[in-house]
Amino acid sequence: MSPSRLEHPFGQLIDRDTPVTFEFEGETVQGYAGDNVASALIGEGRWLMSRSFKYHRPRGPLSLAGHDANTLIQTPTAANRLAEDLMAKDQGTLSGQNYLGSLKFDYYSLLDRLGRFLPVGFYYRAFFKPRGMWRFWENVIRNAAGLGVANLEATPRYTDKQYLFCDVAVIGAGPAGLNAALTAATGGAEVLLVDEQELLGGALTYHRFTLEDDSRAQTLKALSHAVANHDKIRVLTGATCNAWFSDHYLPVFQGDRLYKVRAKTCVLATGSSEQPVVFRNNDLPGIVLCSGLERLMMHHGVCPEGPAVILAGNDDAYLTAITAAEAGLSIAGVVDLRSEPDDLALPAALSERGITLYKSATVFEAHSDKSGAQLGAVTIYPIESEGKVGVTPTHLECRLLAMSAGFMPAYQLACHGGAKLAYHDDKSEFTLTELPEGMHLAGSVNSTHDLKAVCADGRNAGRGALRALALETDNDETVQCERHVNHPWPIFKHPKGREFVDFDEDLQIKDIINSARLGYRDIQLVKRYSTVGMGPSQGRHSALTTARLIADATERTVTETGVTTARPPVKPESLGVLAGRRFHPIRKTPMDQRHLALGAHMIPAGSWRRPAFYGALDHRAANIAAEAHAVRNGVGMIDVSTLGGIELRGPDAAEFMNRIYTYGFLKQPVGKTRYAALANEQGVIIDDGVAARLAEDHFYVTATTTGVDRVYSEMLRWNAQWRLDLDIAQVTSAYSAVNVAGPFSRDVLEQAGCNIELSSESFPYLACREGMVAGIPARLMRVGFVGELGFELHVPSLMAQTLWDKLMVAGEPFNIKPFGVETQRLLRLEKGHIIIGQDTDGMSHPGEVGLAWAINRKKAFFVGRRSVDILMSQPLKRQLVGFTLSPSAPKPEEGHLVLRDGDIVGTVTSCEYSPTLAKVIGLAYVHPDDAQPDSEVTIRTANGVCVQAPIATLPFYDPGNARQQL
Amino acid sequence: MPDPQQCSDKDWASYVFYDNNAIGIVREWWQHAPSSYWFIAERHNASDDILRTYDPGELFSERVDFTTGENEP
Repeated sequence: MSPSRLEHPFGQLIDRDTPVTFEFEGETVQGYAGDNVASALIGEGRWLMSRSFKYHRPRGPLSLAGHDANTLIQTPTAANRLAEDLMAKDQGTLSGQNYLGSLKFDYYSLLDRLGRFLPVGFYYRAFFKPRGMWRFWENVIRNAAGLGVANLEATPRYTDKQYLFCDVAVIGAGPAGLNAALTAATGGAEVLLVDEQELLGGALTYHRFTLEDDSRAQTLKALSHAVANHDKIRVLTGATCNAWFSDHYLPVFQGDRLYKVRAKTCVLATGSSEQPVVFRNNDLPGIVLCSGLERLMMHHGVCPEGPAVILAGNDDAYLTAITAAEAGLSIAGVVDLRSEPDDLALPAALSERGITLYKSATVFEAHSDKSGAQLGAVTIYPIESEGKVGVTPTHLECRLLAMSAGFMPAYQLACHGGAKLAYHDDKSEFTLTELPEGMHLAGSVNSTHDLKAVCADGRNAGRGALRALALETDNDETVQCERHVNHPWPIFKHPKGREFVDFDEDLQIKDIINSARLGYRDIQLVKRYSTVGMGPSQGRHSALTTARLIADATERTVTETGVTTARPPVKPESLGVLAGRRFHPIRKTPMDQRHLALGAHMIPAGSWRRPAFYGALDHRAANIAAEAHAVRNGVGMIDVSTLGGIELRGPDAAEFMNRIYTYGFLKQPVGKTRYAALANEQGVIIDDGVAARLAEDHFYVTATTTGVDRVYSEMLRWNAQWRLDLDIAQVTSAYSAVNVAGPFSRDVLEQAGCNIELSSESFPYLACREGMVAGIPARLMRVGFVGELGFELHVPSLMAQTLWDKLMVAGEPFNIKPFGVETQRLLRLEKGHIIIGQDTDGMSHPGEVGLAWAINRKKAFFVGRRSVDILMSQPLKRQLVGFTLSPSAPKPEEGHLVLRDGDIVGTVTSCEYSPTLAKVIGLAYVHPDDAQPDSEVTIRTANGVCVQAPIATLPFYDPGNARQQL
Repeated sequence: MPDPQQCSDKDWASYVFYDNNAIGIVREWWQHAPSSYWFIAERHNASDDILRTYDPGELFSERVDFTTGENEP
């Protein structure tokens, strides 16, 4: 049978005609569409929803608004979800978390009894003696720690992001936000209105603002209707604004979408967090905030089992009692911490309804029922002085306690923007000041609590936003709010403790005070030592109490004590939504299809994909060996289209080259190439390439695939300062290139048809030419990277695939073999050529890596010149050298350490087996004293096995460099 | 930038590695990524307010020459 619920006007969100069921902890639960999991559970009288973090105490909802973390449960696909944030419909099987056994009978709850051995910070001092005990304890702790369990089989769901722009972003759609949005929109601004609840209206949807409660419903209806129908207001409900970033950049999370909102100005009407009273066992399931009880009744029509006690620090709690009484809840008493309510009509309203009023009194201790998992009774004492009670107790049986000690503004977004919190002793409230430009506050976050004042405050904020946008508006209204909603000291220390200040972290009053006693007096240190405010609630219900306790313990004002820095996110955000759509753009060269057709094993290279080698992955070594053999003995072709390309054109092109790169370029002849090494201002080599001088005023320079963007960018920045007469263009995608290498490479080009003389006299090593190859306009360069006769052809990208096809055909008689980037890396290693970023790191200066020859000392300036001079005049700390090893020795990998007398002196940067040389070869940084070819160095390979490697002269292959100069 | 040919090693190292980092208005190089256009921004480094942006030509209008030393290939 479906659970009974209150009639209209209670239960605004539920659909009484659509019952829903789900399972929680193995038992079926019935609710209605529109219920969340928490309201459905309470609708069936089930308050126990979780076990607390440290002591594994039974816990149930506190705020019922997703503001506390007492209801973290496990769903089939996700862990750590708040029960009140999950709709009851379509939930399936749910369970609790953080227990050993079951939620009802958690063996870990023994930790509650051992509490005195687990004081705050106990883990800094325990578990380390006797020596070796940590290994045992670590295992125990790892199993006990953590909350929910991640589902490793879960399929990622679709998430995405969208950009939104507006004139005014209004965060919070309570009475203040609704008024602000309407005022701004009517004044001509484009408004985005955001609220974390599904329903517009905020507190207007559940709170009784006045005794008569006559106009609230109409006000709500009128405002919601106006907002929904205003064409200048866009509404996002169920949406949380998780941060405020510079210039009103706001991340708004709604379901599986992240809206990146840029507003010109914003209004924060985020409301305030109701505060708990701090007394022994104030964490029992069944103890809620007054607003929580109101939400249950007004939103979900749930009338929990009574009797109920209302613990009042303000008049609002009385109003909650009256609403509850109207709903039929049996109220055992209203306990007022004050001697009188502000509105003197309230006591009479209570007695009319047969509700007993206890004045100047507090609940001092709550007791559980027989199950241990729900409130059963409370003990009330009269208040004698701040935090101290008298001697005469009153015992009240009750199943529910609703409390309100006051309110703390939802300050997070404002504080992200630099706003400060100041405490006012007269009202015992924190207020926000020093707002950033363009941010306006309205409503209870602005310390305004009277409904009429809140609405006026909202309209003023709307006007403020219009003024910030230079739009016309009328003068502000006077906002007057005399209400006192905060009790100055709702904190009652009990000799037996367990008066919780922070529910997330299981911290009681003495934990906070002891932090100060141990010397952690600054609120930032109190937080880090005790962990107060570090849980999911992020201090919403603990910051105010902590500030008061620490101010008192350190004899400072509450303002001086303050609260800890608010940082994004305001509420937990899922990594999946932050990641957004899962697509990974890759850049393909024009020959991409050819590589796939040839069975290439493709790998990422920066944002590109390139062939590593051709053939099956499980035959990697054999495939690479075959390709290398072809290049050394026949002819191979590699697609090097990803190489960066920059065109420099103009009268100052050579002068510019001269200043950017370390080598000399002013006298570089037209038709020759030179090595272009780039240093940064610290004197570190950061990129290299080949510079071809195609004309007096025209250089074509290559750069590394992953470095070209930075090189181009830096060139532009330098010339913005030097104002030389040249144009700089990035042409990486415009040109594509292949490198045809091997003894028969010249023959292949001649076979393909080339209008350039290719003989070694006409086209010597390191020269460059422009002409036609196979009918395609090409720039040709003879470079020595792999150490064989070879030609690098750069052609317009549109023609590159055709060039590849024609060269493959032309190469058939010579058994041309395509080779990939891993083969190329082996071939260059055999020649001892370095790869920037592989054999160099963030500290490598030219002297360390054998590039002293590439430094031109006669020219006046190049970028990094002074630093290079300083570094190279100092003794070397390390040197990059070649080494060899027998193929039967353990093979070092990149990153393996080079040791000398037990100290680390360097690392291996490249290491491969060379089939041509039948040896393992590599490059490593070694101690300068060991850099000579007759030395040996110690390399520590995998699992600590050390090998002695003799230093070799570079290059390993073809020492005379004759083959590339053919 | 101090004159790399005249300044002391200490001054040069100071230019490369150290920053005053005082709170106040800083003048910075910013680049518009889609167009690769470099410009100057004046920003207050505590409040993050951008006070002014302008073309580098306002600060660098003359051709810069490095004259001392020969120029060899």
